[in-house]
Amino acid sequence: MASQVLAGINNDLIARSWIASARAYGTEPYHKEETEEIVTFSFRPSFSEKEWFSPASKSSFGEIKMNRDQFPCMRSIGNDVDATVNEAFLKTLELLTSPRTSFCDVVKMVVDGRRHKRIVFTGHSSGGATAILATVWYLETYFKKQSPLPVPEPLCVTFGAPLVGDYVFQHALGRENWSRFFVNFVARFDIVPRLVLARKASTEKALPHVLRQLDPTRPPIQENDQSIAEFYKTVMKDTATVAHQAVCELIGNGEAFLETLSSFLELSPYRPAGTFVFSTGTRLVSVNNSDAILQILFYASQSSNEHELSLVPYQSIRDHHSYEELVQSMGLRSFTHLDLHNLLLDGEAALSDLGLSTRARQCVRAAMDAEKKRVDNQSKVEAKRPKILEKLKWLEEEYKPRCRTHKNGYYDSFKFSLEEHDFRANVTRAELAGIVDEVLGLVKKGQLPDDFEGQRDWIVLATRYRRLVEPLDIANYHRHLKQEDTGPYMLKGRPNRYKHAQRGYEHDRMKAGVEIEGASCGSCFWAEVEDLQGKPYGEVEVKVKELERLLQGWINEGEVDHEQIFLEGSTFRNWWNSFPEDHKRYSPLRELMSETRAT
Amino acid sequence: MGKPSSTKQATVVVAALAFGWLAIELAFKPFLEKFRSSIDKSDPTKDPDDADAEAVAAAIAAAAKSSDESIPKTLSLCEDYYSSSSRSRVMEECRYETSELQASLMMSTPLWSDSWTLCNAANCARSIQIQNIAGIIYVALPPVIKMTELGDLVALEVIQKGNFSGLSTSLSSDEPPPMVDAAILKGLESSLALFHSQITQRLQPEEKKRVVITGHSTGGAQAALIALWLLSQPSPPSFHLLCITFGSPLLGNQSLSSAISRSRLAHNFCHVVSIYDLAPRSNDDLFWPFGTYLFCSENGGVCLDNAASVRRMFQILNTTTGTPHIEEYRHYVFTLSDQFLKSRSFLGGNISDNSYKAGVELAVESLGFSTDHPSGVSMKECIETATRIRRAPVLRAAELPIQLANVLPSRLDIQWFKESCEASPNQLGYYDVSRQYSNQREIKVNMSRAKLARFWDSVLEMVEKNELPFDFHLGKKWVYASQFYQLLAEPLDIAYFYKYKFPLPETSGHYLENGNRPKRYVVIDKWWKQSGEPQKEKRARTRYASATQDPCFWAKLEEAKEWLNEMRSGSSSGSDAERRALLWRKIVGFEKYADTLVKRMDVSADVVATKSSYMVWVENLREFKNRVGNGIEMFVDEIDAMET
Repeated sequence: MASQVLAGINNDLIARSWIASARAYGTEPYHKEETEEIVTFSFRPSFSEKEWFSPASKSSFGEIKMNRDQFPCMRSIGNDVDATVNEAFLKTLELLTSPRTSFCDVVKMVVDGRRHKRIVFTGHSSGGATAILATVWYLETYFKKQSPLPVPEPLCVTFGAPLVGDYVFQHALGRENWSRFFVNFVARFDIVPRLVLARKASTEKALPHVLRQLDPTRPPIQENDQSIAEFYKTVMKDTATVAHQAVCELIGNGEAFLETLSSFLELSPYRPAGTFVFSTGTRLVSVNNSDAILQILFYASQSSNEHELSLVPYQSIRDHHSYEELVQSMGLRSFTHLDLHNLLLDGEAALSDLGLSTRARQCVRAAMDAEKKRVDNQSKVEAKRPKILEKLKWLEEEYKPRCRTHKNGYYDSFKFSLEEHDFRANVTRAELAGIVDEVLGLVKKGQLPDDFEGQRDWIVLATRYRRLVEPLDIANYHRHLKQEDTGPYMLKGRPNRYKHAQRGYEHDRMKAGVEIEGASCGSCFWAEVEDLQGKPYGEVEVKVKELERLLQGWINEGEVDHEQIFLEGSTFRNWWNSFPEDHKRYSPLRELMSETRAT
Repeated sequence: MGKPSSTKQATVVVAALAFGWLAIELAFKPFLEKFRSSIDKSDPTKDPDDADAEAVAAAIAAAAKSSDESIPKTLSLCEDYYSSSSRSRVMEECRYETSELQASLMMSTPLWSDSWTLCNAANCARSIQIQNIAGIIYVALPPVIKMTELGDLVALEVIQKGNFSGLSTSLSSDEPPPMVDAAILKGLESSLALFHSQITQRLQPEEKKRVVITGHSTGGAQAALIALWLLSQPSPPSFHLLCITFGSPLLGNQSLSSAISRSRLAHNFCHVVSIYDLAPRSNDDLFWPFGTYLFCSENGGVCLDNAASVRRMFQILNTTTGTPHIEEYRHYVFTLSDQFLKSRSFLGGNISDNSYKAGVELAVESLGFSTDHPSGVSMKECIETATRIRRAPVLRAAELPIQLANVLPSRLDIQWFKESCEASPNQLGYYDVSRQYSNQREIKVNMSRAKLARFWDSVLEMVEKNELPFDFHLGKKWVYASQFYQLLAEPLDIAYFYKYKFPLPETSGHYLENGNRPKRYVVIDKWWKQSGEPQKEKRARTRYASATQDPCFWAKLEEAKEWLNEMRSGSSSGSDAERRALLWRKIVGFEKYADTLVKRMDVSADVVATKSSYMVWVENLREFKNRVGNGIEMFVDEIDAMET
């Protein structure tokens, strides 16, 4: 299939993946195949319900948050939430990566050998879920960090896999530019990808029976099995609710009624991630917009008439076994990549083959429009960059030097705000806050492209902004004695725009392999000083020493401007001077203090 | 004679004092620096909290489509900040249609079929049914009242002794009182008692507390009234509440409908109405709809959520005659709850490739009408209008942050004026300067004051008319921005009142009397109360607040000045002891109140400037006390005597 969307993936690779997936059926805990260029790891599916929904899980959809230490990238930076995944699938991964199996060691050998261009993780059904999580594990373990030698790119190919993670999971993959590694094949009616969109409580009873039917090693299903029809209906009903709610939220105008209604509903958190390739009789249709895929998952399973409706429930089981055939006939099928340009409301054979009605196309289009809007928002944000730069430049090149000549530094100058230029700096601070808050608002609402937060130049700009302007906010806070009625800056007063900038910076450093020490950061230096000064030395001695120790690192990193803080009239210097002689003599800052005084 | 009013005065002072502290302390905690609303030297700096960032994002997103205009420079003075451009943008084309999608969403949920099932049980048993289905408590009311008993309206508060106090009244006084159907109201008391005893206990074990009140026909109207009663208690219910009615007749008059939407309660009501059912639209000249209406046919459904569009739909349906008359809701509920299984293709020939138009056409078809048919055409217009009405608030709200940023210079101007007065050697705060002098600076500040007042009046008017999103006034950004505006600007309004208006013969009474206080401040007070910030731990101030925490402090002082003057001038006569005792009590009340504020440093520096009118008053009082000497005790004795 010739498509830029699935770059580097050809029919042969997919066929190979399928064969490996099928071979994994009887193999614990993984199956490995190797060619010149590619190593394939495939995972067996399970048709026992406890491997679909963890029996211990009390949550309505068997979900659990990912562990941040283990998967530091799988979270939202803007909202500071970890991704949610299916607990049972995560457990399978934990077993796979535990020392009891050779998996980790074998992968390490492959990476270290560097002979292969690509590692493929693949699986059918719940084996696909394992493949997805194994890929995430690989990305976090080997691919995330910048490495001097090339690390093999992973690829995850699944066939009829259930959804694994939530919106944050999908968003995080997008931010790290990892979504491109995931390709999921879904036969039009296959019930498995829709299964976790239903509440556990409503599917629980019939699930063991249905899973037995889904197991390809068992005899084929009875066409008159009423429980299958019921099960199909139950799953699709909840899928309908999820899809409708999602699209109403996407295009609606924040109607109050929708909000009330949603508080009465239990909605599945799972969302599609990566590229989905839907197959119909003669065609393959690929989509990589998660919202659009969700709509297609619902609408493509609708029937056009009563007769079809009586057959579809069984088709939804049979389609789960159709991937062998799909792979074999792949060369014969036409391939369409769905985007806004070919999303006509009428006509278009690819859409008709998927059974998408006018209403369905509208919803898919709405989802894609939303992505377009996110891109538009980004260019609007980009357009503000010169303004931000101009203001930062004024602070850096005019305000700061001018304050230096006053011998107390810009922190103190701003705090006392005696001069006209201090007032102007305050205006600049507030204007910058306005712009940055606006961007942050878009980030938090998911109204910028997923990869926005991962962009290097924004991280750099946000860091520069944080280092330069946060001291002004701290000065403002203490100028108005907010610490008295609101509480310490670090606990109560720190604006989200700085917390967010810090998270982005730390995330970036983490990927560069740098661990950041301490919970606080250098731009909050003044907040620490304000918090400690005025308290008797004896009480805060330990904290003072800790601060002095961290300060050197902050200066080296560029977090704190050493040209400003040591100035003659600065709060910090005055405070330091009040320390007992003994402390000063052994202080790591002793030299810095005397050096700056000399200049 | 003076006794009742003096007691009242004391209460007022105490209450004001209590509220004053609370409001103020809270007012300044969370920060006002939101979306550049605060280039403000004395702003406390706190987080632009999430709610705000979200609001801004929503605003940007909504505005993004049509406008390339970036947000105007904060400090560039923009004269017409509520320009007409915002109005034209409201009419911008809507890209997608949601009324049918909303209905499809509703019909795919368990709420839809479960509430009907219980309604049906109540209909059969002719008694109230309560059941817990998957963690949601359903309460269904039977239609015990006959349709023929309906039709008489009766005012709500007369009978219910203020039970519906949560319903907010109109700011304009010419609106008739909210009224409901007399027969339904009569049935309320009995169902309430039963309801209460049953619900509380059943809710106990549930983690998420959710109640659905439902009913068919007149049972639906009763359900709606109970729901309304619960929602309009002084403190809102501790559980989520949704009222779903099936074929319910209309409950009340137009005032009731507006009061419900003004009180932001309409979104708790969903009225399911078959297009063939006449009961929901009988009496629709006297009675008005409220809440979301889900009109359905056997083909599908459409949600409309503003009263005008619902009424229009009633009219359209009234003109269509005949066709199948299935009044059986069971049929619709079960047919439609399985509707999601089948795709519905467009029947009426060529479909527009414009998503919105196609959506509207589909919606019309879902009600069983053809877009070629005249009724279908009217229906199409009706749905289009509804979409516009629905969308308008969002677009308007998107404009507001920009307008707020535009009036920022005016606020900065007042702030700057205040600070320079405090720093000046004249030792006279901005209130007193404005009250006493008229010079160029003062005139400019007055213009800033007027500009801000115009802006806030326009915002409040939009809120009052429901032209803004339902939760607009609860958005933290607006609560804080309005509160901060009030604290800074109301003293100036008081100053101008006493300087220009008070001496005029046509002005009756003081600032705080006879509706002299601008309504915007009354409303802002209310928002603040509604926002329900929990009071946090209070730390003692070490410096005077940046704005006096009771915005009416100066108005109270003006009254106190008058009392003391009267006392001083008439002190020799001693004729009207009762009057004097009353005055004295008021003076002591104010002295105590002001003293507490000052001690807590809840006043700004202008109050305690050496020459401020407050300090002058304190000095006068001290002098007076000295002069009268033991006389004071006499007053106190008199007061005591009067009380016993």
